[in-house]
Amino acid sequence: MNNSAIPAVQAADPPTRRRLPRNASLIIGLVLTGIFLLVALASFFYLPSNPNVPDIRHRLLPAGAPGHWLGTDVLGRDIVAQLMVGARTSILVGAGGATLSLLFGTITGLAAAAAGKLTDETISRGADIMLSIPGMVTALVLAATLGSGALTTILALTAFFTPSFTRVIRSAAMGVLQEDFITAARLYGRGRIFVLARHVLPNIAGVMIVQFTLYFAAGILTEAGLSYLGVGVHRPSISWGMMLNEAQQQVGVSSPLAIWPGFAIVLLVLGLNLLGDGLRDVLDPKLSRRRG
Amino acid sequence: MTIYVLRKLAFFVGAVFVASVAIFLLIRGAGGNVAAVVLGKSATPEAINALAHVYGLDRPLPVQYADWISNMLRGDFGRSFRTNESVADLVTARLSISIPLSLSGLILGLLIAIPVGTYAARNVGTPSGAVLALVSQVGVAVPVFWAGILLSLLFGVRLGWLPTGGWTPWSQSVTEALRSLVLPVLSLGLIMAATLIRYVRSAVLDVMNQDYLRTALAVGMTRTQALLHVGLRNAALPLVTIIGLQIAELIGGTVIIETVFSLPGLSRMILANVAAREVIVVQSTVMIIIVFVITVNLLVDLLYGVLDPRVRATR
Amino acid sequence: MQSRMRPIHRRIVRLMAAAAIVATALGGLDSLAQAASPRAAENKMILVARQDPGTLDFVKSNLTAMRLWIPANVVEPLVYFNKDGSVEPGVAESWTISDDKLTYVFKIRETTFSDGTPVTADDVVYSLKTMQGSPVVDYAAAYEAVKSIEKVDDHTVKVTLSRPSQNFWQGMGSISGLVQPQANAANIATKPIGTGPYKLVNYTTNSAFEFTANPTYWGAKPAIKDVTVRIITDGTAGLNALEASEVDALPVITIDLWEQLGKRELDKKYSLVTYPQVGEPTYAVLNQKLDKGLRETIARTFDRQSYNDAFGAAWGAENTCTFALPNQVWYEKESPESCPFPYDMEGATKTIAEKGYGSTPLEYASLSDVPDLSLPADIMVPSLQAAGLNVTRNAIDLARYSQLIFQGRPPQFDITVMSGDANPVQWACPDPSKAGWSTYCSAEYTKALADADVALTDQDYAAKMKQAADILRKDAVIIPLIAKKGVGLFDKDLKGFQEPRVAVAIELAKLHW
Repeated sequence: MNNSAIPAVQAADPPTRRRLPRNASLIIGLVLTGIFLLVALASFFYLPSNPNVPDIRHRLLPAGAPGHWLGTDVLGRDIVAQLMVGARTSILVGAGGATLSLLFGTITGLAAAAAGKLTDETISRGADIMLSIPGMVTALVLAATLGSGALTTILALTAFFTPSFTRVIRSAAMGVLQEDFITAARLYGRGRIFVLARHVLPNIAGVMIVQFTLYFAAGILTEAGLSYLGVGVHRPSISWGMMLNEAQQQVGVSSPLAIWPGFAIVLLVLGLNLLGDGLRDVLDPKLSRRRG
Repeated sequence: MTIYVLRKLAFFVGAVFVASVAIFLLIRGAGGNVAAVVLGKSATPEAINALAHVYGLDRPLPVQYADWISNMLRGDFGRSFRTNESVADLVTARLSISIPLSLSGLILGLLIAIPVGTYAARNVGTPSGAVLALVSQVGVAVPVFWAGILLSLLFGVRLGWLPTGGWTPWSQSVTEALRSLVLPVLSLGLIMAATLIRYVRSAVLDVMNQDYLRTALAVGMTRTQALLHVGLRNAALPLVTIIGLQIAELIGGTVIIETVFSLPGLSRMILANVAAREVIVVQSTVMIIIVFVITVNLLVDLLYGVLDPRVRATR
Repeated sequence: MQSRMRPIHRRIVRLMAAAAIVATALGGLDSLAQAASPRAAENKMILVARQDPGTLDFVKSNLTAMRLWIPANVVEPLVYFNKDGSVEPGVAESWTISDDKLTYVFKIRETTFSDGTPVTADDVVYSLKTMQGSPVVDYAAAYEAVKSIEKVDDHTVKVTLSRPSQNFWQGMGSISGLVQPQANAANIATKPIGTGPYKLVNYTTNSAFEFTANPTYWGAKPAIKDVTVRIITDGTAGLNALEASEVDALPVITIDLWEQLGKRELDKKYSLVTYPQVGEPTYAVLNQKLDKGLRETIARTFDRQSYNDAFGAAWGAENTCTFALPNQVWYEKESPESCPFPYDMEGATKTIAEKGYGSTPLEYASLSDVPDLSLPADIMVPSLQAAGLNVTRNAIDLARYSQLIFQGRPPQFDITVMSGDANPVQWACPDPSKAGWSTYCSAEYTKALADADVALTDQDYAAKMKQAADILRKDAVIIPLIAKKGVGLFDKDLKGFQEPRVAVAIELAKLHW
């Protein structure tokens, strides 16, 4: 399931894209992601109203009400303001989880690729074990253990995503390590760390960026799921998943409340996925060549 | 081959062991205890400690772990502290919801994804192919619980055709039980399909470029016949793998969908028991799921090894 | 949005014509049937419970989800206290109370438990002693004055007290006085047995209770033979099930559904009953260690009206400054006289600035997994902050909350909001050195409660309880906010609902078609 955050990396299909304008995915993805980034940034400077302060007299206003484009929730809090702050949380948690996973994944992946058979076996089998455990189920228990909040959600995502990063980076790095120029560098007397930093990393940067983008999206979906289940972020933080959780309690009274946060999630995740696919074409010509 | 199987089995044992330690420590690390939850807000610490002692929760952690694992190995999954029901019974009862739900979700997903994915692969570059690509791209971005909420808004709240949630046990009314499952299965299946379409399409695309397909075309089959007869059979192997991979993710989707529709399935049971710190129930149930998933993956791997000799050679 | 959804709705209806056929085949159009419940003819009814108790062990658990169904229906107390104050026999056929109110002799009824075994004095002695040792303080509290519980003969039990105790006598008509067979002790959590009008056939966690009339019941046979209580945690789903005639009543409707109920006009299509006894007061608890002036100022930032309005159902809850439910004699509605610290943001803001309360970091502990209790935090925390207090909100789950607050000695919180039983006795502080979250340690309060307990007349008892309630509200430790009523929705043909007598238990035997 998409919510348990394993992006369909293998399922890219360049043939279609070949006939579309060359980088349609990339452009649409950039635009969508950019809009949400701007909204999240804007939320630090301007909000229509405080998204946590109730205004009971104006509760459950419909969309289009004066001063409240998308109406208000059960306590009269502005939906637009909440969506804006929600963008902040989604991006923070998604990017945070993907960044930490990238960091740990790179360390373990490179170590596995370069530090000898025993290290490789340990790390690879460890990653296999982690990957074979159903993520959502452990995330639930993990969330209870760590308590709620954006930071703990990031940690849960990291625990959950790192093994995929390890695997991808290990195999990409191994590919590079077999190239002739690496052998040449080693013969020239370069140290292992130098080779990794100077020659391997730049050559796998494309894979890393694509992986980061796709897991950024997966992180947003997972955070939304956890917050929807009530084990993610809580007020005063605001997340789209949490808004859907609150909205579902009001479904019989005001159904539009359950619509907006869902749209926001779909658009941002779609944007990031398109961006990831587009980037793959640009940054990883080898993959495109092989597939094409 | 024997060495391959042995290595896989060793991995299985290792994975189960690591998972068991992890889950044990995680739930213990969560703080709070079931005795306090049972006794409620007016209990004294003395009463809580006394009850925790009765439950054996005051023993050292390694002792509790060893006790739990040895019981598990003997097939005794333990009992709920609160109700004294055995975990095996609890899990069996929940499976009567979770298995039909997740299995029908997967089947529905495949029923949609295989024809649509094949069609999409056949129509690469045409407008309809592009639309399908976009639809599945959007589908992958839809959170399964939002799909559930929207479906229940439409069919439950607005039209009133189907229950928005809740569960009627099979023993009470089979039709009612089926009705409670329609929307959850639909949500799960549609979202599964979006992911699977992408897999199916690239699998079929790969097959389309293979030699045997050209051969089939050369002997006079139409392109569609060739794809159906030869292509799909060859695309089946990667599909088996994908289904193996999707099992863990299917369980993840089921967790959320059971909550959206208030179905008392396995995952809701885990959520409630995590909240109540029913440590044994949580540990055992999660372990049962993990062992199931790892077993499916092991079987897929072994099957793969049997079907494709190259795998054996390279591993 | 409503009007814009309409055309889409119609289009979808057309598109879904085929689906409609399927839905009909599955029985979907039952919902159009307005006829009497199909259960009426079969002598059955299906009710809805919102929460799953997990355990039915009424000795160890005080969860409302259990207390709604098991007492009075399956397991009976020694006596029943009626609403008008009269006492009716339960498991005890008759009783005598000595003039000094120190000796109670119960004559046990010649009857059997629902499994056919006879009820003996030994069972009663066992039951009372078990309750005396209950880890649930509220249950054991009834036995504080009890000196001995003895069997006199096979059908007589004598209880001797060291001082008169209203709590003991009240307890014998409540959960503290429930009688169970010793032989069933091992199965109490899943299959409790008693002498009640119904026996529990089956309980499936998260799914349903199934009751059937107890063939050996000593009283009049209940009108409805088979009762299913279906557990539907999703509130809207429960209302939908009622509207689709899948169920016959929702005897307890939680506050989050009241607005929806009105909007869907369910209160007109079904009989709506409100009954205060199953309601709950919601109250803020301020840690007693906080400065009294600060506590009073905090109390003045609580906007009861906003909180009440947030539910969109003014008929269901009353603002109150008294820790009580509307049916208790010491209840008083919110008024200038009854409220020592009325809502006054301006005044509170001024005081905070003057006294520098803003420099004290305060923690508001909120339960993250109980929507009813995270809503007050959504309202209170912003207004505490607006008044200038340095408040952070700590959202934690029930298990952690139990650990920090219920078990904490001293409890780890500054401000929290809870709801629950309205018995002031629960705040009593017998030993200040063991002060917990629920102890309000004030010599004056403890004495008022003790005086109420030993009161020999009902008037005296009420007067002393009023006095205790007054002390409590003036010290700004427990700050009552609203008193929710019990609300139930019944099929118009399902009649006979009566207010609970044994704690909050819904008496199924009183209902009839």
